[in-house]
Amino acid sequence: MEFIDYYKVLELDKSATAADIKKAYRKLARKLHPDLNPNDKTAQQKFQQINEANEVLSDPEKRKKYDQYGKDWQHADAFEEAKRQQGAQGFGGQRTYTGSTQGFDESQFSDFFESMFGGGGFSRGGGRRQTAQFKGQDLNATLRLNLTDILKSQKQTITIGEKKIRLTIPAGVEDGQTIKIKGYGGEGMNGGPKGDLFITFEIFNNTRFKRLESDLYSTENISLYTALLGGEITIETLTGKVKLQVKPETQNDTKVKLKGKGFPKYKKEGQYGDLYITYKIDLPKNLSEKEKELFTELSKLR
Amino acid sequence: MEREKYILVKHFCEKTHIEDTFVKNLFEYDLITYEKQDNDFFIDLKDISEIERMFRLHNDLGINFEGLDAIKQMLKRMKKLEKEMDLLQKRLRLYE
Repeated sequence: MEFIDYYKVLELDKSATAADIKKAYRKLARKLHPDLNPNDKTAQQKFQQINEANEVLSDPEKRKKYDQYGKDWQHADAFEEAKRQQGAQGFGGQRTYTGSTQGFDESQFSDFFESMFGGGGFSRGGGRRQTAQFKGQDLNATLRLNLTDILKSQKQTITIGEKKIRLTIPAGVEDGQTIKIKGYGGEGMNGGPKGDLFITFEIFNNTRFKRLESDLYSTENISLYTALLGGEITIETLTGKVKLQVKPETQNDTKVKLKGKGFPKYKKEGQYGDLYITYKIDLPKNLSEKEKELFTELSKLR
Repeated sequence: MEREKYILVKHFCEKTHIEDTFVKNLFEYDLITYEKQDNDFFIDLKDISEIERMFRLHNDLGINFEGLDAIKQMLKRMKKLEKEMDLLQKRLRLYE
């Protein structure tokens, strides 16, 4: 457990007045509020820190205690004595930020705070914040899959907390895509509806293909002779081998499209994207004397 | 109107201690849609998260209704831009 410099958190120095604290807190709250920074965990953590700092520094009693014992917080005896004088519960009352967005648990304050001020509520003049939560908390989960796992829709059972959830993962789901599973979040407050569960997919590409939505991209090496004279090559696709006719005089970096040989289209049963092949011409190395002779002869013909 | 999809504004306000005038102002500013039956106002259950979010912004940061509308538009735009950026990053990766 580390000492937390609440002044530093609010970008203030120890001589800050109550008005300075209020101003600094408001400024940082506007910047870091979780509802203004969706999906930004760093901002959410910092918001939690400034709330905690504000709880302490905006309350004259807590600030006094913090200033007095803050750096020596590990001296339990002194704290115990202070606690005894102030009553066992420490500071009762209302706590700060009561709303919550996906995955943000505002009620978690640092161990440092808990050890110094106890786990009770918080005192706060004015009561600017109030409980307004009716719908249960939304939960977030990440599901890691291989690209080859999502070639077909599949049913999977996942465990969130102690709950088992059966879900169908549609073929062609995107890396980073989030799906909402209604009613699988936290319990509602005061009879409100349950929150939702948001599952974000992390798709690991375990193939040699590059993927852009439902299209796949790959490069194929062809020999100089196939490029010049044309010929047949066999390439691997995600669904098996395919024979391909290479046109004579094919240039390096020529791109060909194999219609419908790409990735399944999300939620479009039976529809597939395309596969784009880029030809890379392999130039022969370690030429023999005879080859050099023939290439020289060829060059004279141009 | 499917009753199970909606909640009476009065009931919602009682449970959440959000003032009725706050919700009515959201209607006024077109920030939330509502259904009216006789003299009762109903909100769609799917809008609850949004109402709670706007209440937090209003309550925590003192943002007025014009501000809430502006934030809503900006967040929508930000989401769209993030999606575009993500797609462009994926496109760039094709050339790596």
